[in-house]
Parts: sequence; structure tokens; C-alpha cells
Amino acid sequence: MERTSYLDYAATTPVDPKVVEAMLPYFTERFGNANSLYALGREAARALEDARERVARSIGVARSDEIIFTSGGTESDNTALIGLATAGGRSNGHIIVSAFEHHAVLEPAWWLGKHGFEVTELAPRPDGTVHPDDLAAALRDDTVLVSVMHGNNEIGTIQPIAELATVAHARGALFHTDAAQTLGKIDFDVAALGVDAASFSGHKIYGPKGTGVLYLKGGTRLATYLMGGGQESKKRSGTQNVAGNIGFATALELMDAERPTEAPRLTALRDRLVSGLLGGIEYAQLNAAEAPERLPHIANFVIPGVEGEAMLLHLDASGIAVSTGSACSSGSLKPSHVLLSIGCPVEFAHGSLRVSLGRFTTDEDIDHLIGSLAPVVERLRSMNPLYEKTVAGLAGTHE
Amino acid sequence: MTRTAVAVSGGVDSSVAAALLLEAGRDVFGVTMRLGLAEITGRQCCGEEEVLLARRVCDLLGIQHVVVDMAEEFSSEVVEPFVDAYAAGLTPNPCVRCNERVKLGAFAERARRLGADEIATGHYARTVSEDGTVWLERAADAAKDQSYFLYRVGPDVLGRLVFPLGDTTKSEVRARAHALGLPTAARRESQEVCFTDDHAALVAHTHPEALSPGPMLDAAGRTLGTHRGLARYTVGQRKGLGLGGPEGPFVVIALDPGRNALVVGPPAALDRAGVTLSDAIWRLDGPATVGAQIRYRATPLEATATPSGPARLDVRFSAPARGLAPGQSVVLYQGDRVVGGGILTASADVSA
Repeated sequence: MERTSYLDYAATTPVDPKVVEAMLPYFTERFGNANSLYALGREAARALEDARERVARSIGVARSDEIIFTSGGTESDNTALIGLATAGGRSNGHIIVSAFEHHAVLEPAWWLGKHGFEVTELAPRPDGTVHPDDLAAALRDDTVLVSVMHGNNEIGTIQPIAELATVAHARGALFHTDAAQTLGKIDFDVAALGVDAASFSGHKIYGPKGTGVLYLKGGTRLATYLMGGGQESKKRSGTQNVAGNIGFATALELMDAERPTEAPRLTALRDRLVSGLLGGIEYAQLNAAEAPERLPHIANFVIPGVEGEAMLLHLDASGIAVSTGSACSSGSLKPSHVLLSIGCPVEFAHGSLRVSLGRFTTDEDIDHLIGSLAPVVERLRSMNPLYEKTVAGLAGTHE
Repeated sequence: MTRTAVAVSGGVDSSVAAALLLEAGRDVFGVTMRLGLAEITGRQCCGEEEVLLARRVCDLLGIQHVVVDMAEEFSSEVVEPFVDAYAAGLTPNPCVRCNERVKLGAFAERARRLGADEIATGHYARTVSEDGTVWLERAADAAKDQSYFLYRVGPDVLGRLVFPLGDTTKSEVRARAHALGLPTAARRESQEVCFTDDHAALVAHTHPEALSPGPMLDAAGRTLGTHRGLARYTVGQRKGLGLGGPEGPFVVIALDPGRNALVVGPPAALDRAGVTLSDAIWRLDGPATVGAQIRYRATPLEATATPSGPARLDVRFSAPARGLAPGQSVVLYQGDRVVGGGILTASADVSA
């Protein structure tokens, strides 16, 4: 095969060799259980608490006990939604989630909806952001929790979290944000954002899979989700993944160190991608093009007249890894709920292409993608009996 | 290069079909329908297990795999008409309809939009191209032949269809699956109706009246007993009537939903000299002598088919035919070749 181009960093990332190196001793010679009293255990506990402090420092948290290590973004989201809503034995109330959350937030919200709570799914505006005025209008006296993601995993738009949190707090609701896609990519400072809880994932930042963090503001009540030995300040039972958590902290520090140069580099690559793709593919559109702020590494396109999965199959054959929608829903031809939520018509939401860039992406990868995509789109459009009709519809609305 | 989408179901046949195409050097990828069977049957695992199995097969073969959600189409095109047909006193054939509307209809169209020039399935059947016309023909393995279920597939789709198993036998397929180490090698045969093994319960959800007891009448209108709901009976049925005695044996002659009555009589009352087919397909010009197959695996009966209107065919049998259930398909062959077919109407039977 020719060149291979991995352009799906929003799905997952390779573990940085420095991260692997930092983790390795904790699998073998320093294998102790961080809860054991003897020296081997104390050594593991010290390393674990050191990792916790490093994560706390990175996100601007003074108290390291506000950092709860979890098994990943999904667990952090599930714990936040269910744990905060049902804290203190509460069994009813109102919660608000944005309609384009990851399913790790939507599913527990829907679960709460079946177990006594009322759930509002707040629609983002067509520019791909949740507007604070819309949140203010949706809040009620009995709203207990609001969850809006920091950066959207499919379209890369950044949400005005600080304003949204202020609006929620004014009505007495807690505020959680899923920051799995933003941590390390843009600044994340708890004090500046004012959130009560935030979810993070290790494998999106060149750390190991199966690692994550839930930030929980001190004094916030949480119903425990995993019960057992009372680890993580009784908030998350289970013997801690010492090596994994060290990997998480190390990966995050590496992200922080490279961000001043990496963020502008990725932004430039993304802009090359957007202009190249829109210039090279007729009728292609950038989703949420009007967004005031977007992540440096994600761009999502609608390419009318083709199925997203069809593009994926053909690009895969050219050694290119991209995605349609998010990785979790791929392999199943359903339109993206994210694109539908920002008003993208169903027939276009089928033809979306998410390209996400990372540490090893180069100009050549971008050019490889654009060069390979044009003939693929041409071929697929020629096989689509509805294409002429689609284009005719577009011509009516275009310009 | 021609790209072929193989409809992989997780079963032996489609797995081997994919493997055979790969061996022949074809550019192949797998597609699987998600039919939403869990919602239909209320069973959690049903359907999803097959999707995962299909993915495992594709992983093993090293080919791409896409799952296409066909739940909506399957429900509206297959399950609902199936239930409605039973409620109307018919005996539907959901596999015929699924092949026409879903598997080789909407699903094949989705596969095409995924970039497939052709679609392949694990059916036992053959296509033959002659002077630019593509015909459907029986498989080499007469015992497994599935052309009966495929007769409604249109000529445009037939032209893009590949049946890799058309020239093989089931035992060869099993041996190939075993040799390839396919996880599906030892699986049992799929049942004829994939979404239910209790059609009466399914019908009861939306048409409870079809499960309500009513009279069993003879041809003269005398009440001989009570039936347990028309959806539980089919024309020609002998068992489960609870009728005997010197006047027997009795079989089901007709279902009359208007009176909620089951008409029974002696087996000879089932004999028909001819029938009318609706929604008919006829690929020849004018009347012709055919072999009429009145159900899956039945021996074809000699008959003359005559087009008698738009999508209508009159079929006259050389000798009286017995056991024709309205709603079922009659498929018309010349030799191994499918030349037409249609659905047996409830009312327009031509009596002997």
C-alpha cells in the first residue's frame, strides 16, 4: 500500500513513548496496591497522589482531592450525570443536557428521564454552539443539573462554558461539562470556567485507553456509582490503576508543554484542509462554519450526494483513516445526532466526514486526503441515482 | 475494478459466499442489515448477535464491514404486511416480500450508494444472461434451491446480483466453512421466518380479533365446532381442528374474516382447476405452458399461464391442484428458469 494517513485523532491517539516509559515500572517492580500499608503500597500511593496533583495543577485546581480517577470519559460522564442528579437520595427534578452531547452523557440523561427526572435536550444554534440565553430560558426552579460539553467531538465547536455555568448557577443548578475533546488541546482552567464537574479521557491525549478523570468541586454531593473499598475519597471504589493514572498525568503534562506551538500548527493544518477540501469537492460544506470558536484539530464536512460510510470504505482502501460522525456510531448507517441538532438535513447528515488532526499530521497527510477524496466522491456521486436531484435542490439554495 | 458488496448475515451461506468471491480475486466488502428484531420479538439478543457474528466473519476474511439500519423498512415493508395479511385471513410469505422490498430492494440500493457495482448474497439460485436479458434460475442443488423466494426481484437488480453459491451444494458449503475456520460453520439452519416463531402472538398485538374464537362451518353453513382464532389456521391444514367421526377427515377450505368463520370440508374440496394471481410478474409474451410451484419446495405442476390484466395472471392446471393458500406465492418456471409468478388471491379462485 501507498502512504497511510491517520486523520482520526478525535477517535483515539497513539500513546506517547514517554508516557509508556513513565508507566512501565508500575506494572512490574512497583506493582503495589496504593491502599496497602507497607512500603510497596506506600510507594504506589505516593506515585498515585503525585499523578493526582499534576492533573490538578494542569486544570487549575488547588485541592487535588477534587480529582477522581476513573476508567475513562464514559465513566466520568455517567458518574457525573447520575451521581449528581441522584445525590442525597434525590429521585426527581429537572436536568438539562445539550442535544449534541456524546452518548456517554445522553444515555444516562435518558436513563434519569425514565427514573423520575425530567430531561430537557437543549438545541444548539446552527453555528454549533449552545447559547446562554437559550439555557436561561430552559432553566427552571427545580433544575438540578446542566451538562454541556466543552468542545463538540464531531464538529469541533467550542461552547461558552463560563457564561453557561454562570447562567446555571444563577438558578441554583449544578454545571457539568464533558471536556474529553478539549483537554490538552485548548486551555482548560476550572477557576476560569466555573464548573462544578468535568469529564476527561486519557486516550484522547496520547495517554492509555481505560483512563479518565472526573473533576468534582469540593463539597459537591455525589451519589456513589461504583461501591466497594471506598477508594478515591469514597467516591469511586476499585483498586486504582496506578500505572494508567501516571500515564494520564504524564500525557497531560506533555500536551500542556507542546500546546503553545502545537495549537497554532494544527490550526494552520486545519485551515489548509478546509480550503483545500472546499475548493476541491463541488458542493462540499464545512459544518458549523459560522462557529465563533472551534477546536484546532477537528473539521467536519457535508458532502452532498454520498454516504459518509462509502467515503470511509474507499479512503480506507487508500490508507486513509477518517470518520463519519463519531467513532462510536460508525459501522452503522445512522445520521449523526450532532449534525441533525444543528439543523443539517437528514440526507446531508448521512454524508458527513469528520477529519481530526494530531501530533503526527503533516501537510502531506492533508494533501493525500484531498487528492484521494475527489475521485472517490466523483465515483460515488455517479452511482447515486438521486444525486442530480440533490444537486438541483442545492443549486436552488446555493449562494 | 468491480466492487462487490456481500450481504453477510452471520450465517454459513453468506460467509462462504464472501469467501468464494475473495478467492476469485474480487474486490469485496461486507454489508449487514440491522432489522431491529429485538423490538419486534421482545428478545434482547435476537438480531444483534447475528450482526456481531457478521462482523467477526468479515474480520476473519479481512474485509470491510458496514451495518445498515433497515429496521424502519423491514417493519413497514415486511412485518406490518405480514401481520395484516394474517388478520385478513391470508397466509403471507414474508421472505418473498423481504427479498423484493428490503434485502434486494432498499438495502441493495444502500449498498450501491456505498460504492458497490454488484451485490452478492448467499442464496442458492443462479442468474443467466441471454441477449442482454438477465433471468433468474434454480440453483444446482435442487434440495436447497431458493429461486422461489426471489421471483419478485426486478430485472435491473438481477443484473447486478451475484449468487456465488448457485453452483455449489450445501454440504460443500459446510465443508468450506469448516476448512476456513468460519465461526458460523456449526450454526444451525435459520428458520423460514426470521422475526418470529409465534406469528399468532405477533398478530395478537395489533389485531386481537384475529385470535378470537369463532364457528367452524362446513360448506353448507352447518356449525361443526369452534376455532381458536383465524390467524392460527391456514388453508389445507388438517391438524388441530378437533373434528373427526364418520364424515372426516376434515381440512381447512377457507378463512372468512368477515364472519370470523373457518370453513372446513373434505380434502377433495381443496382441488382447484385454476387460480388467479395478483401483483403478478410475467416475463414472457402471451400465454405459455409453465411449471407452477405453489409453495417452497413443492414439485411444480404443469399449467398454462395467461396474462389477464395489469399484473394479473390466470393459471390453469393440467390436473387439479390441491393446497393453494391465498396470500402465498405461485412461481412459474420453464425448466429451471423463473418466467413469472404472483400472489394467490383470496376470492378469485376458479373452482374445479
